[in-house]
Amino acid sequence: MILLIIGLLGGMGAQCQAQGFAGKRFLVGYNFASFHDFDGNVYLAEFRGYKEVPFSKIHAFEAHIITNRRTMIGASLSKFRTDRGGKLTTISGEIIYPQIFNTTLGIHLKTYFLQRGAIAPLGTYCAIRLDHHFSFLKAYEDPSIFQKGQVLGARIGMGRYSVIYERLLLNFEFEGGWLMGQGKVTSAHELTDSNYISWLRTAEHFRLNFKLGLALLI
Amino acid sequence: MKKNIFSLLLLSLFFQLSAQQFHYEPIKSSGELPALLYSSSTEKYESSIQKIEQNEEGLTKKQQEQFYLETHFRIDALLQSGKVVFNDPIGLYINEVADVILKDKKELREELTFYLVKSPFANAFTTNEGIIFVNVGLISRLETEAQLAFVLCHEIAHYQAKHIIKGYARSVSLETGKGRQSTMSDIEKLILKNNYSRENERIADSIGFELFCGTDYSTETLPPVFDVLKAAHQPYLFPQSPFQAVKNAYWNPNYTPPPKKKKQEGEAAFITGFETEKEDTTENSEGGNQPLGKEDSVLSDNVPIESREVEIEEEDDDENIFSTHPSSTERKNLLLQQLIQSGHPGAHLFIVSRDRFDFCQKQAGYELCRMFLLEAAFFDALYQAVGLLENAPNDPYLNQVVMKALYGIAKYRNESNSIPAYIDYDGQASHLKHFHDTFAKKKFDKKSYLFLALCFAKHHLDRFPDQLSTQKYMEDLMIDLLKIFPNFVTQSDTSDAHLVAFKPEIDKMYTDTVFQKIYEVAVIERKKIDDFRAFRSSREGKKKINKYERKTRKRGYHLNIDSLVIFSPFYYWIDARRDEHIDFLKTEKEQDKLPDFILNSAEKLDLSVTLLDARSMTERKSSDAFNDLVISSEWYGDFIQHGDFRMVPSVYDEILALSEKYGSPYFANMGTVSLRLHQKQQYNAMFMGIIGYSLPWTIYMSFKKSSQNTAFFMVLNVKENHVVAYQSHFIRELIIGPFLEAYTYYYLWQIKSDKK
Repeated sequence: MILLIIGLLGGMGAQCQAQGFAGKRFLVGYNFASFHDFDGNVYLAEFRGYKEVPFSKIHAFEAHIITNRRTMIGASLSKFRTDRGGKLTTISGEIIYPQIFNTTLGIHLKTYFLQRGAIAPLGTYCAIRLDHHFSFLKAYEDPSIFQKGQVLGARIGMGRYSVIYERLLLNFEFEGGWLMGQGKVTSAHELTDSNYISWLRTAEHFRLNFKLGLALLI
Repeated sequence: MKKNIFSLLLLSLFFQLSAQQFHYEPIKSSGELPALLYSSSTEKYESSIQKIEQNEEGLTKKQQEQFYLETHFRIDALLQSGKVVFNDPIGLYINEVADVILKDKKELREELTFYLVKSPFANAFTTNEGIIFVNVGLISRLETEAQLAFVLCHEIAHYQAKHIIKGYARSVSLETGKGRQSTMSDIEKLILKNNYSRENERIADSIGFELFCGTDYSTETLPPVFDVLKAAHQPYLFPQSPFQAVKNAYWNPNYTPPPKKKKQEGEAAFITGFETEKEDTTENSEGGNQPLGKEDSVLSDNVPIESREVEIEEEDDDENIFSTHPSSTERKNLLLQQLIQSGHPGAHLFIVSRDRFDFCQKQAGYELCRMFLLEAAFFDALYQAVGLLENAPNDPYLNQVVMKALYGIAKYRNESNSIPAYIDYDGQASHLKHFHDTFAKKKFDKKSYLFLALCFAKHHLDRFPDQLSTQKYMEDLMIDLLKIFPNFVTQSDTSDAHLVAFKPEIDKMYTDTVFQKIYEVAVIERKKIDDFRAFRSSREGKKKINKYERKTRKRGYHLNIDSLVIFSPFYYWIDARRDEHIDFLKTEKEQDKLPDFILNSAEKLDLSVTLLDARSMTERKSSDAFNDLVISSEWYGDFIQHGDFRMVPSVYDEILALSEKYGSPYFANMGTVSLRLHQKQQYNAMFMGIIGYSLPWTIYMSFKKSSQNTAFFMVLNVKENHVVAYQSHFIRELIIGPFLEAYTYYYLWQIKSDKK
């Protein structure tokens, strides 16, 4: 499916001759995404025994190609890891409080139809993202207890880029996302397929975010 | 020394020869352009504010800063507009007259610069910076060098007495004053301002006369100067036979204008001033059906000059409270008193050179024709040209002016657009009114005009075959005629009275192969236009056109142009929240970036661009590029002023030459206007209420100023006289610099881009 979408987006890019922003057709950037992790305290409470206000913290690198005045396509690499939390019981009956390490590869399309006269990448855009999440769950206490899995997700967002200096842009965006399907465990040790905690935490992290970042036109 | 004498002799010989065989060339700059033209207005402003003394003329430091800001930027805008000419023969002559006036005041002379302005109004004006501008309209109307010297003395007096900054101080004081002034109405303030202005004029007349008395110029012709200024908006030539030029060129003695029909409902009157005119029921009895050339013919010159003046009430020459100048009678009387007291008769009406004065006056008279055509004041151009033709009936340029003016009138008439009304027909202007009335009002409808213009153009082409652009005007007239009379050359159905009347002349013209070729081209063009209109009105056509327009809006044009000329790119920063709306400093800051944006983008796109911009001529001090810029701007102004309908601009020959010079028929103009408005706070509050988490966004929006920017570009084919591409974009953004760069690139990309 991802390949199909990449093909479609690539085809769109090729259809219209790309003009870029003042001759610059590529945009790379870093974003930090964070928001109140609504259910995160539940997991933490399991381990720490008290409540606090947890925030998701996602680091993302993005690369874009400006395909025409009102469209950019791109790919992103996002990473997050959770604190210990969320009680699990292994096959052997051991109780663990695992950490989750997530890597997300995604493709996205940003369109500027909301703002008349916008010229990509400057201005207000709407973004659609398709993600492939790779989760690695492991017990903090015993790293040999782990579970690896994959799940697809999607996000939509609205944000804007503004020039702060020469080719350096400031980016902020609100986005919401969800996971598609139950995911698939690719390998595991001492944990069964029924341990969905990594999907739940992933879904929590991508549910709603405010992103702030910098980007560079190259 | 010998070299100088030799140069003077050569110059003198040139003007003597010029006087005998005058060959008109449009007034243009020559030599090296003054640094004043391209140096930064911001730097000039900053230099001026460093010299500010506290409370000069009662102005605070801040008010003085505002004064210098406006002064520098407005003067520079005028200098760069192309209206001001540098190092031209008339400008040089004016400067030499100034040298004579100020021969004993070297320091003052060094402070002053005199430039010619291409404006038809008889006027001169000075600036606080010592730049004195003299209009072409004034030069054409003055009779002696002594008169010119007096006008210059008057303007120098304004400068010496610092009337500009004093006038500004007076305005500021009235606007911001406390006590009685704060309760005044706008009318009261205006009256007070004008009182002050009139007083300054009297002072300038008085000081100017004293300065004048220091010269050896004769005072003999001074009083009429005020009549010249009073009649600044009126024609000054009185042709004996105003219609002769037209009738000489072509007239079919058998032409009988058809009886005028009653005005159909909905038929727009073509001249604003005559919309309420009554039907002339006596037309036929006046000789409307008489052959032309006879006494009562349509265009009769057998009306004595004096009877052409409409009887009007004597102008109230008393002091007008709404006038910025005293009445001419008062000024004349004051001058006469000073003349008597001074006892300075002077000896010379001309000191620099009579020949040069005559040359300048003649040049200015011809230039007026060009200016009138550029302003679409076709009747003024026609009247001015026929006035000058009486002394030079075979002058190619004047005949061309007549041809272009007739073309312009015919086109405007045919399109039912308004021609400037001649409502101010007091005094001399009544001659123009008579001319206009006789020509336009009584006998001619749009068909007559088209035929007349075409016949005149053909005759003009026969007389001056070198003027190839005439063919373009003929072609355009034929295209319009073909709409009314399909195939009018071979049309056998001659039920139309106009066609009957003009048929013999058309048949005669059609024997000429050149005429035939132009006609063939016109038929093809007419067919193209008709086909396109039919296509546009068909269902499928509408669909396709809409689809194309949508696609163009979305994806842009793909013009596949390799080379073009971009002229006068502009940027304005307008802040609606301030009293002085234009933010001059920000405007210049962004404007200065434009040339780099354009040239860098063109380089990236491998697009050959010639940039004609007054601000970026630092390295090219030659006046050639500046003259080219002026022609481009004049042509563009002429092109766009006619609105929806297409006309061959009056400077078509000049723009064609420019197109050849730069190797491209494509000329483009682009610009951006940024508008800052008051922020609408209610939206922020609403947004904050809906999404509690949007604090960063809300903070940002609260501090953000509301801004609107409109960018546009237009590409024109100057050979074909049509718009190749036009786009405008509207965007709300505060920081405009990056968008300027982005849009500049995007527009040039569209020009260069090939669909394939």
